[in-house]
Amino acid sequence: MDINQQLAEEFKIRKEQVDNTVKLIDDGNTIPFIARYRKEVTGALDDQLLRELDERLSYLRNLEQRKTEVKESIESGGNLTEEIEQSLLNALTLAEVEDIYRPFKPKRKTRASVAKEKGLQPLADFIMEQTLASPYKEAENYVDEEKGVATAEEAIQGASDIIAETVSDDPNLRKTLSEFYADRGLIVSKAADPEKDSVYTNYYDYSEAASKIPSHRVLALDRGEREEILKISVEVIQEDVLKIIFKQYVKARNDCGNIVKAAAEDAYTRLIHPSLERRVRTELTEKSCKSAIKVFQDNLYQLLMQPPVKNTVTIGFDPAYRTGCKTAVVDGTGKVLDTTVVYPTPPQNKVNEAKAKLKQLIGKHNVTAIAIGNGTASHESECFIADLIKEVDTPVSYMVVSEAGASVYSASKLAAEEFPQFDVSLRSAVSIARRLQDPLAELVKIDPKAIGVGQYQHDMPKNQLSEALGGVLENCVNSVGVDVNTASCSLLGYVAGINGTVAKNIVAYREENGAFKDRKELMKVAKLGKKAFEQCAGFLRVHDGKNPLDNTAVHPESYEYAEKLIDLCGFKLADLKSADKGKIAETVKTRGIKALSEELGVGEMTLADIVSELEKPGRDPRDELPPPLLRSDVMDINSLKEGMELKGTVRNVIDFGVFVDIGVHQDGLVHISQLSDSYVKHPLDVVKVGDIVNVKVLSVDVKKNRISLTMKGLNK
Amino acid sequence: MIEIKTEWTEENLKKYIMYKFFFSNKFTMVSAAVFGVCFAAIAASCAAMFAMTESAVFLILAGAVAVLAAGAVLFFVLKINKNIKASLKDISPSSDRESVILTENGITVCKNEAPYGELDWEKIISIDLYDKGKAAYLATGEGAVLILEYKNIVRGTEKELREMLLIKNVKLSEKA
Repeated sequence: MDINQQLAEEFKIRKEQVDNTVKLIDDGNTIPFIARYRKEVTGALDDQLLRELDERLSYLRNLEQRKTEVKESIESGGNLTEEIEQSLLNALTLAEVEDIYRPFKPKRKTRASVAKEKGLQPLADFIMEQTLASPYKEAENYVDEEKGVATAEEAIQGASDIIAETVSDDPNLRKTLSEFYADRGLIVSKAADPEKDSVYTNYYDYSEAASKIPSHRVLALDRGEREEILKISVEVIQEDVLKIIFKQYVKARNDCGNIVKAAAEDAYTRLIHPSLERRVRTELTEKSCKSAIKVFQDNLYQLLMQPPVKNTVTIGFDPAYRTGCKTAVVDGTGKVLDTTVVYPTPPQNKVNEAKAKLKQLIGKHNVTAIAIGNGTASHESECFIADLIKEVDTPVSYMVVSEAGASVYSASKLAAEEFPQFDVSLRSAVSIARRLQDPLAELVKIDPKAIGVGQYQHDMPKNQLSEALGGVLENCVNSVGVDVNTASCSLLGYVAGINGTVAKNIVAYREENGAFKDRKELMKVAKLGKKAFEQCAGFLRVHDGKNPLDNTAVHPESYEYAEKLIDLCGFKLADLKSADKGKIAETVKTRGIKALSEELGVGEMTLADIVSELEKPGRDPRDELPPPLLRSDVMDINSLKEGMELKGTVRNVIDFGVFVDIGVHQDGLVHISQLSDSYVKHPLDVVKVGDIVNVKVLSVDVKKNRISLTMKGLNK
Repeated sequence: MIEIKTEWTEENLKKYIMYKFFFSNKFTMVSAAVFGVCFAAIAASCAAMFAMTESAVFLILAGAVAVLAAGAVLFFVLKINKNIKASLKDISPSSDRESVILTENGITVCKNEAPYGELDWEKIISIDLYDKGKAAYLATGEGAVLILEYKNIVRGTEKELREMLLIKNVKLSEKA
């Protein structure tokens, strides 16, 4: 099988693109590097597609390897036929290869293997022929007390076992039936104990087509089964399945035919059904996990790429009741200026004292933003802060930020190294403030699984989830770029080509020799070789360094072209910061990008990237997004009225809808049917985490603390 | 001892099904004839009434009866064809040449002229001699049928085969 050809067909791209990309991957290049700096070679494939292609490439290579192993194993047993070879060649999945291999696999002791040991294979063959001849008469020839076949009936039973296993091991039949199960199977859920109340009551007597069941429901059923509350099975119309099997195996209506029929039925109930049931369940779970991970990835991407509230002195406010609200003042660069603990919430209710303390901090440090954690006592804290803001003369606004993972971070070794002087709860307040200032830089320090912007994340395969989320982090970090002189070890670790050790070495070098003056200096870092430099250089920025290009995403390998372009525009490289950037666009426009690229000897796509970087040196792609919604007042659930129109921030996107923060303690739910006037297949097609949206209140259930919202007719 | 090739072809299956459907069952045969006559009579009388009265109602009635009759015939033809197709599909034609050796004591199934297995006469529950079709049909309790066409006799004569089957048939009726 030509893997590259198959990839080209699957991804609907040219074979040449696949060949080049595969070569780059095999040469040890990282995905962000290929996506950003090898556009001419790959034909501008984006990093998402490159990641999928890389994943698929590994799968297909494993498949090829397995095919070779299986072929060798069958060949060594002397069973390889042209037909089997062809089936192996045509197999598209590992499951198919295993189905082909099944009859030749060294088996543990089965009923059929016992019967074969008793010499009943020829009798099974005779019965399979299904001539009119009497199998019972033939079976008498196989009666042999020594071998453990006492009667003709026993011989027939043994032969039936062999036939049942033959039917069960038939790869073509398995393929047909697995398609039938996937297409016509019904997922049936029953309660283990119908009297017991649980969150799964909706599924106590539930069934849905396997081909249609949505992923969140599959995961809910799986969880219910794991908790031993539900019993899940896959049901099909047995008659229809048996018809398929009989059509293939029962050739005649005679005694032999009847034995084959009974054996086929036994094969189905005893061997095929349980195995296909497992396969359908596994495939559904895998598919659901994949889709849940995709939702997780998209949400995480949006969360990480939320625009930072840069250069603002921010108070991080970690709400709590008994132990008080931990407060940390952080400057524009994330440095901790002050910390304190206030008690405006029950049981202490020292509101005035807390207000005085915070007013003093706001005045002293010119605080303009307050980030409130969304955990326990968040609502009370929000009311308190909204009240406080009214009493302060300077403009201060607040935002409730997700504190998911903040406790994990503050208790981590990393946080202890960063803030050895603070206790765990104060570290958490610092983290909350920094989340508002630069969500990406702060959230990379936390295990992405702990960030909690998905569904059923604890049920996902751990490695798959970590890999997928690691990929998102890598994408985000590399698309934003990292300041090599200020970045933390964790942040550097996500830069293409840099591993944990190299990241530590960069920080150590920085501490020993002072800030990096240019990118070339990176080569002096221990264990950062030529290859690693090639991979990481473009993503690491040196602000105010010797070379202004070091503060852009232009790769050092393209400096030559960038400098030529600057010359053509009529200014000097050193003046890049202050020069009129309009000249660059003008030069490109008058000369034409194609002619210019030929003149400079660089690819068109690379030139376009160089131009956009030179126009805005040191730009942050997140700045182009709408800024986060900062509030100065708070609302109570009781003040919400039906039909009220509000602005909110999307907090979480799940399969059945979207949770929107509208400034009330409880996030409101916009059900998938209320997301748009037209049909919505998945909420992610309409919104993403962090989006600012207009919503209308549909209903408010104060008792259950539920707010239903709609986006219909709004957000046009 | 008679040796005879056993074949399942579309042609001999059709002959067998037609025989079983119409000729082995007197009631079906008579009913079909009666229905045919009735349809013809009704159609004829309608045509006559139309000739006399020139009323379109009779013409429509005659047409409807003719369509009904044609439909019934078509139904039977399709049904028979479907049965044949199903039977042929059920029994995939074996590449081996199959034949049976009939003796007083039993039936030996042969493949490529070599004995392959045995079948007791007791398993045969009905024997039909269809002389017009130059064939005999032996059926087992499971619904299997041996189509023995006289032209396929390898050893022995048609007379010997008919005699043997007649004797066995008498024994069968005695048993019944």
